[in-house]
Amino acid sequence: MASDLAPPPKTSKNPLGLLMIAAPVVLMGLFLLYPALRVVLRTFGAADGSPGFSLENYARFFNDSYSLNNLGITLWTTVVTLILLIVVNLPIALYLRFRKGRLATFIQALALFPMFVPGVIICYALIRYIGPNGLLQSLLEHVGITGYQTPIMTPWGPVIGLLWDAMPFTLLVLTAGLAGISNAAIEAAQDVGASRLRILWSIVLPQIRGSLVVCTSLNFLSLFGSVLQPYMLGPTSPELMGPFMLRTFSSVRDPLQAGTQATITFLICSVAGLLYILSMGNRRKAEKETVA
Amino acid sequence: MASLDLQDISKRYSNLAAVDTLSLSIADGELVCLLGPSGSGKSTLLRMIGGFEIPSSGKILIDGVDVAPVPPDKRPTAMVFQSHALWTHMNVWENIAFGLKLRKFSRDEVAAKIARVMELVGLTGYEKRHPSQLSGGQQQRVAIARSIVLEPKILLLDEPFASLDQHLREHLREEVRQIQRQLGITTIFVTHGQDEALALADRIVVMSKGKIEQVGTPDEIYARPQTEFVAGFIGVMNLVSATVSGGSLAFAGEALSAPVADGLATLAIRPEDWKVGEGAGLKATVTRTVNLGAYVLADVALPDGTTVKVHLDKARAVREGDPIEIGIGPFALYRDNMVIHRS
Repeated sequence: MASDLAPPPKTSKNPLGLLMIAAPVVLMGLFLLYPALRVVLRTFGAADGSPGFSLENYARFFNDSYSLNNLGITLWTTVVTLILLIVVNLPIALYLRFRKGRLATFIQALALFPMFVPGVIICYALIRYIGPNGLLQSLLEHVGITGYQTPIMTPWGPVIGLLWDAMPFTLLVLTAGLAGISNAAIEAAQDVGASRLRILWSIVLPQIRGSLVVCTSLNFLSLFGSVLQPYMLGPTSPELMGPFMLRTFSSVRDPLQAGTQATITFLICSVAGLLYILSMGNRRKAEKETVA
Repeated sequence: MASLDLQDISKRYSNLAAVDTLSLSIADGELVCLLGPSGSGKSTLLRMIGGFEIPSSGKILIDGVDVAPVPPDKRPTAMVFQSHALWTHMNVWENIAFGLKLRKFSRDEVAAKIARVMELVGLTGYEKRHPSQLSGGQQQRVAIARSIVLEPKILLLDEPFASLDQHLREHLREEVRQIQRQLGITTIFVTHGQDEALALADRIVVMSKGKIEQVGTPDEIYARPQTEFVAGFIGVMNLVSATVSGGSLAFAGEALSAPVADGLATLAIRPEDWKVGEGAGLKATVTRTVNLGAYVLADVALPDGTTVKVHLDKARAVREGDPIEIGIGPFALYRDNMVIHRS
């Protein structure tokens, strides 16, 4: 009964609470929000820096086929990596949820291993293994298979690197979601006549929808703005937005256009962010209903 | 509706036998409670009947057909789980309709069947609610509705009210009894609550360590426990070690007739079977009283130091430390876990 619930603590009128959050809020405002807002506002000015509102910088970006190609390849890489992350990790998460034993523990350790390896090491390892004249090519040639085409420096290079990098997080979120489904819920579905595929489709996937949204939206944010893997494993043209922004800022020395690229990246990522926030909102609403 | 025959059923995990060569027959339309402490194998046995565990050996015959190797979805059984096991992303209607849709019933048939079971479990009007919007008792009713809507031959309930409070439990077990009688469905109910089993069952199967200790009606189980385990497990029982010698049993200075072989035995007497009052025989002292509503359960210290539990009429108004005279009424003797004598 809602009336029996204790009222929420009145933190808004608690000076100690305000004091505790004051420092991080001020720091965030000074070092994150203010400079970010300045950059965003400047992108809505003229390209030569003269005062007044203008969409000139955006017109330049959207009229430039190279920039549009970069945006396109970034979207492609993000979407393909996201799909592969779910396709690869969901069966592993399902296996870990429903099987116990040494093999399951070993697979879990193997899948979480990339979390403890720095990204740059992963990139070098991939270059040495699947890159041109790498170990894989040598091994294939030893057994008489020639004509190996390396995925490094192609759009698939960053996909492989990002897949490796994002796998542990995705697996953790999915296994946490699956842990919330009771064995009895699965058995109840089996009892009424559902096949394994039907249980997966009608019982398991809808119940981990929240986890799928969380790992999709959060991975989207990190994949879309990633720099290291696209820089080290990807093609130079078209290039992903991360290296593109970096090059525009540091090599081309055009901070205004880099800011425009960053704002566009931010706006696209906000859609994923909004999806995440909505998902969290729905979860809280469901929890509230359960309490009531 | 169907009969069930379990023939030499065993379930072993490594060297441990959760269910050990157990045989049992359940008649068509009967409500049988599997009763036992945790680890007695009652849930494992139920899960084997439901198809969620494969027996290590033995046969499970439903209407004469062995279903031991058949998966749960192909058996004419339906299970109600302890944790309700409702699908939280579906509303009540969808939860109940799920199994019907899998069986390809038409939309009208599904609606009609759901309306009937919703009325049966008293939840008409709750169709659009999600499990999180229901109380524990309502959730369990939905779980029961979800099972019986499929018209199984045998309904299996695995401690379905364990997570509910005492009042609701009593209410729901009455409802289950009514529904079972109305449908005439063969029902197996697992519980570790003896009051639940005594109130609900046509027959009780008392289990311990994977074996059946006794099968009988609630009256038989309570009044004539066949083993010392059942005597101690069902209701309150005084179990006191005593020695039989020359056809007589010495207890608290009294000699009781015991026409059995000499040796150690366990004397069993219910608290309500003591004679109480002047001339009863044993002069004792009340050491503790517990008011149980209709009567008082008293701990009574006998002259030899043994403490026994005795039911006392509330009208006696005894207090701790009061002297009292009690005498032995009907009793049973157990040796090697089996009953050897009843007075």
